[in-house]
Amino acid sequence: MRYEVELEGRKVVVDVERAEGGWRVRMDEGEWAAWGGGFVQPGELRLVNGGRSTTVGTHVHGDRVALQVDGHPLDARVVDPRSASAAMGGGAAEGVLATPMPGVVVRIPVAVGDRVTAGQVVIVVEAMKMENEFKAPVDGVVESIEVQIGQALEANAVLARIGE
Amino acid sequence: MNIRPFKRVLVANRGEIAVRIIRGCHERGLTAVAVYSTADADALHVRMADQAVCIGPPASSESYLLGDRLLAVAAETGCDAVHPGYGFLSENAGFAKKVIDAGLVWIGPPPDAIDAMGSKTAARQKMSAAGVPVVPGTLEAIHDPAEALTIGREIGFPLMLKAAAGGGGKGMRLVHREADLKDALLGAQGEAQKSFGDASVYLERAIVNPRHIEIQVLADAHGNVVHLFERDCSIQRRHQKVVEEAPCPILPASTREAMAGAAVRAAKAVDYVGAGTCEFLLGDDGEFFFLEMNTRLQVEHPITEMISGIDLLQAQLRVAGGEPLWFRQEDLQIRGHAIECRIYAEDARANFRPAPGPLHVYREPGGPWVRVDSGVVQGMEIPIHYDPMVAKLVVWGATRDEAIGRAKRALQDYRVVGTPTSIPFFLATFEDPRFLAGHYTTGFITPEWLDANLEPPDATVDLAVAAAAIARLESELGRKAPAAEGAISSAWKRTGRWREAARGWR
Repeated sequence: MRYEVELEGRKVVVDVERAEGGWRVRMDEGEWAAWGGGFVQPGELRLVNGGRSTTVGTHVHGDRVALQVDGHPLDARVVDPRSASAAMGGGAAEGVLATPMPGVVVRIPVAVGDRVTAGQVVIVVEAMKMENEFKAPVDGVVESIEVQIGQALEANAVLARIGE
Repeated sequence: MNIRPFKRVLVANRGEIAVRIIRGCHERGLTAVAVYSTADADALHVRMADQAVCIGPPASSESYLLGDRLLAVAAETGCDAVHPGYGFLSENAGFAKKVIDAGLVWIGPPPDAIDAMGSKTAARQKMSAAGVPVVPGTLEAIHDPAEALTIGREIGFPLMLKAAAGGGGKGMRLVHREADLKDALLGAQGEAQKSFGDASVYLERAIVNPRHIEIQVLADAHGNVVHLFERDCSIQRRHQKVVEEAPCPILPASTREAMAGAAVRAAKAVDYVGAGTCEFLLGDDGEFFFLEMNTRLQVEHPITEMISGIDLLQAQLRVAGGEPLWFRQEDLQIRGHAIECRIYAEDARANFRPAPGPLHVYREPGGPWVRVDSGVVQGMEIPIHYDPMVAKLVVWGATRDEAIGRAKRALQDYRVVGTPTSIPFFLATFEDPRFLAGHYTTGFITPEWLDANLEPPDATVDLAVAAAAIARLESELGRKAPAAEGAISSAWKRTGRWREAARGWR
């Protein structure tokens, strides 16, 4: 199977197939590498490669894969390039900024149409007595800003959308 | 105070501490009644209790903080005692009085002791009278620069100017030199007026780069008071403790003795009964000062239990039931070293922004001397309405190095997917040379340190890329992790199937 994996600002074309003892994997059409391992239990994947073995946490939901690797929580988008969602040029989910908790919008340092880089602060929400900065997850253009300064938000409110 | 045996305890709290209290009750053959808001209907503490009653909607102010409702539930469910846990109403003297007036046993200190330590002025006065060192300073407002200078010279520089009506760091000024005092005073007064409508400013000596050291005390209702050594809680973010260890790695025995002595005097001065904690600031010159006393069981109590061998919750239950302490100070010894990590549902890379969410995958680490106090299970969603604690990871080692090694291994084995946690922060802390040397202060966590230490290294990201592709492939090929979809219903489905299978075996 070929997938396009987006993670931490990287975009990698990954070919992966089942093989004896695990899988074989190659990145960006480089050399194939043998990966051993298997699921310890649902959501816990043991991986052995290059003399290192470690257990990672995984949770797949559509083309999103949530991971825990070496303790770090990481989110990946794993797209089958042949699928419809890839054809649409990327999930809207990718570039949607939403707040997990209720709060009040206090700053919007960007405007619709601005080019932003991954990590740039797009919306600032005050919640739980602190200012929480919501940053662009990828490079792109601010497609829409769904809130205004002073607005009280509920949990899971969409703040802004970043497009390609 | 009603101090007598009891059988059925109302657990007036939630989350991990409610679980702790319920387990403690069951270990003594007592029954426990849980209360819960609608947000906690599926919580672990509810499932573990002998009976559970819903007390309101998610907001604490409409549920866990409603003392009268809690008392009504205690009456309906036949409880003869109340354990308040920590936070919520645990240090509310009014609620404690109501519990006692209703004829129930209050598993905590007398209301007068709660009151005495609840007021800053009253606490400082009592402590001074008891010969306990307090942060040198005054609680009366300073009116002019001349007065400030006179008092400042007595107290000693550096000085902290603080708004009497204040908080949140506003109206505070740190003054290093006499020459800066006048401007600082005017500035602080102006800010205080603007922020609080009250220009009153008072002086305290500023303790520079302090360590936060606290002493656990335990008292029975027969006049016996002991201390169970110290905890170092200096590693904090937003003034909240995140890593605690016992004993303090750099405390000279003489300082320990002096602080512990002060803590015991403090407890005696307010006729304390039960478990309590005296918090101190330790300056880099070795001088220490009383900060406040917490008249309840603390979050970080497990590390004291690990090094002393005393179960503090059992001690609370026994003392409240009228028993005298079953050991003397001389019987207590520090054994080994314990460390606690508070695992919060937060994004360490986004300045620890709370990120409550679903626990799609959740497995606590095991192994010798690894203890996890939690109120969560796989499949649950961490509610947004309360503090985002997932669990406390507590480890013990025969030496500090062994404890650190054990903590690192346990953190690596701690599997959480679906919600970011502070785990990467702890892993980075336990690599930091200052922590390893035991030389750190409340200034340990800085934005620069976070930026430098929390990014996943390239090797981790490489592994993640492969893992993501492999996980996706496996999910499609049908060696599907049930946790991959519909985690919440799946966990219960699986449990149901096992029960069916078990019946089939008979």
